[in-house]
Amino acid sequence: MASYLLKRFLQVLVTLALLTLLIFVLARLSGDPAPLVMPSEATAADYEFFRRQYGLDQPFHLQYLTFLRNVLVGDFGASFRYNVAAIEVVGTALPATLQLAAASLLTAILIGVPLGIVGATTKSPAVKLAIDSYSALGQAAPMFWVGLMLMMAFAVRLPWFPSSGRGTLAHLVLPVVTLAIYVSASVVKLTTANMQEAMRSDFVKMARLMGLPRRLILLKHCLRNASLPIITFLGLQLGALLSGAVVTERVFAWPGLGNVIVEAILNRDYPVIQAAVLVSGLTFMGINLAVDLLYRVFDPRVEAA
Amino acid sequence: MEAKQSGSRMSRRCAMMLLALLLCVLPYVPMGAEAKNLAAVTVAIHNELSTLDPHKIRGAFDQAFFSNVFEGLYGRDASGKPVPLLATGHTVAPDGLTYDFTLRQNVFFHNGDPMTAQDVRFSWVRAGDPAIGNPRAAVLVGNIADVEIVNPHRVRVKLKQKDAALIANLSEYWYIVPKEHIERVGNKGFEAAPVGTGPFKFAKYTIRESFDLEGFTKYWGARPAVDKLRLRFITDDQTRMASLQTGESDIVTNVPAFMVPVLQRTGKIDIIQSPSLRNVFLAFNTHPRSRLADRRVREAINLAIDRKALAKSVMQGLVEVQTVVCYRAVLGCDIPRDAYPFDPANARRLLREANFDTAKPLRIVAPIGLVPQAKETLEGVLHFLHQVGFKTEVTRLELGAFRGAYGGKDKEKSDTEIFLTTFSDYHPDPSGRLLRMLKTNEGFSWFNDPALDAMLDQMNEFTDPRLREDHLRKIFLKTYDDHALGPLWTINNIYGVRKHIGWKPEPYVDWPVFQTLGPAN
Repeated sequence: MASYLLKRFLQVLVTLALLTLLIFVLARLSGDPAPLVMPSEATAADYEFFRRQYGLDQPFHLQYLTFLRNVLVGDFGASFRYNVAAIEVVGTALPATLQLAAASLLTAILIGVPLGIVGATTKSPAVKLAIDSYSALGQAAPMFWVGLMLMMAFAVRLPWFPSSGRGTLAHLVLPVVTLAIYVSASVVKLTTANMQEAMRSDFVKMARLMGLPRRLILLKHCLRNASLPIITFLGLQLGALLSGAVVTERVFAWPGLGNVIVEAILNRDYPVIQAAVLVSGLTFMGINLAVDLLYRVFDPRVEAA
Repeated sequence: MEAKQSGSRMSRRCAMMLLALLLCVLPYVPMGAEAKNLAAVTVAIHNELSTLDPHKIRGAFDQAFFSNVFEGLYGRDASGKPVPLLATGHTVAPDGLTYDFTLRQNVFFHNGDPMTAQDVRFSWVRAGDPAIGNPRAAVLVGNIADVEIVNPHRVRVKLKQKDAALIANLSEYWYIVPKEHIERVGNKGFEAAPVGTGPFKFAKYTIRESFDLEGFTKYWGARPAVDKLRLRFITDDQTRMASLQTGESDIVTNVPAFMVPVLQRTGKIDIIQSPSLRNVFLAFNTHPRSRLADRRVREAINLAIDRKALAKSVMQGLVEVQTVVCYRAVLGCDIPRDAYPFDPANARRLLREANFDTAKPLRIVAPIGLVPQAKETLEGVLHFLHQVGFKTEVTRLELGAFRGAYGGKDKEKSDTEIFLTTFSDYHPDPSGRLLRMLKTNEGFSWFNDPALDAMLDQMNEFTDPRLREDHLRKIFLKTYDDHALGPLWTINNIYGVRKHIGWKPEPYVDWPVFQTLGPAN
């Protein structure tokens, strides 16, 4: 286990090093930030001052080396747009993103897994049709449309929840439901398919013959075997949510990482793009590692392999 | 007798209970002058701030903060004319290079320090300090040779060159900051918790979310009738409008034209239009390589477009069609001409006379965003150009790429012939916009005419305001006759305001100023 962890840690380091280079190059491909940052009254001398101030007048390789050296001590530079440390911009967005991602994923699991189990076990065609329809519609409906419709229905028409912003638990409801509908729709499909497959397995038939209670067979044996693909999917979804649920954050003016990244790209705010992508990259890698470790908990064969 | 005593005890008890109730309720009953104040107002604005330091302003989006918290020596009245703010008046020496300003007394900064001549001089030094890196220093403070302190309430400003736009530029280009306070807390401390003299004082800033202001009780002028003001940044139009409909916001900026009837139908929201200086227009490349160097082609383009129909269909009539690229409040804009007529027959004739090769498409660059209803406006313009025989090739660019192309350096080598664009100003003096839009090789100018350049060079040298206004009028007239630009319209700032709010937005600025905010009626 220790050697496995060490190997994974080294992999993360190499990936991070590559990511720094990639994001440094890609951010600069978006173009010169000066025309966006400087006012129309600015003179050539002002433009020159701006480029000197942020080291943009240096050769590319020197800029990269300076960036690497500073990143190692946690300094991502100052945001061109907000005039504060880039990591501060990302840091203020991170709690909002973590909160939204965790709440959405939990809600998606609470909706998706039970519905998936019912979908796999029900004999009622009407229930099956309802669950299949939910799954299909949830995946097909564009997230911005779902978000806007929920906002119009439950904030504007029926003033039950705030339409935007962050602060109270009520502010969480609409963005969480928007995201949870999309994620849970896939969880339902995945759970149903994997449960059905597990239910056809020999060990389940054996368990039935042994007279084990149906609930025990379903929840302990079938669900546990069906859980690996679901965990993989949820891990990927969590990674995507933590890198920012861009559309949902935009619609509900949720001050999270997705909004930060989009604004930073539009403003060519290199330091913020770099800080945000590295932070979300690191988060993604951490989640991947956690998912791999979870495999070992749910399926001992992975350890043996 | 007992019954009488019991009755009297009862009434005493009742009176005591009533008194206790009254004492409990009293603190919550608004009284006197405070009764007229709104306790808190939330405004949803469409842009985020880039800084809280008035000497680092990047653009109009920052002014939602600065114009409510800071002041200059002069400001503007409702017609856009300069009026004294932190000064009470000024005199100009005959050479036009020395201005004496008398400062207003009993003006206090938000930290309680009185404003004096020392602060005015310090604000000039700081605004031009390379360490601060003020991106707008070139407009005003760069032309100031010195600010002398005559006495604590009088300063003498010496200019390097004559600047007839000095007074107009004093508000947004030279904000007065507290010397002693900044020396005490440092530049970083000041930027984290700025202190000005304006009607509102800074309370809190949450980056990318909102900033909070509080009414300044020691403000020297008319105080806004609101205690607390929160400005939330909501960039998405639909979300911003929803926040007004739900009552989470009391005021929203930048109401899209198509949302006006929707908000009005609620019966709870007023739509307030306020004139701006933001023009939407076509910039023509008239450098020698361009086919638009021929005046007849530019005229054909201007005659081909039915501006009134376009304004009605695309902007729901919430704009004012323009004769030249300015607004009637702008000095010299009132030229004796009407907007270019819609005359497609004449446009076709002019193209024939100019031997214009209509088979080769006009190369047009337009922004994504920036111009309100940019896509629809562009489609409308293209429709009219196609009607008179033009073929077009359009490139739509995101904001950064568009600014790079429109403000590009190698204009003579560019293949672009037309930009659909917009321009605004911070005040109705047009010298800034005229230079940047029309002087050869200036930032956003694609026009190329030495005669006009000479007129532009003279415009700030007049000491007599009437002569200067005449000169500015001649410049606008020349741009009209030369078809230097293709004016479309001036946008009105459209605000959505809930009915319990009383507010008259400041005209001719692109940001909300809240000094007149209070309860309705």
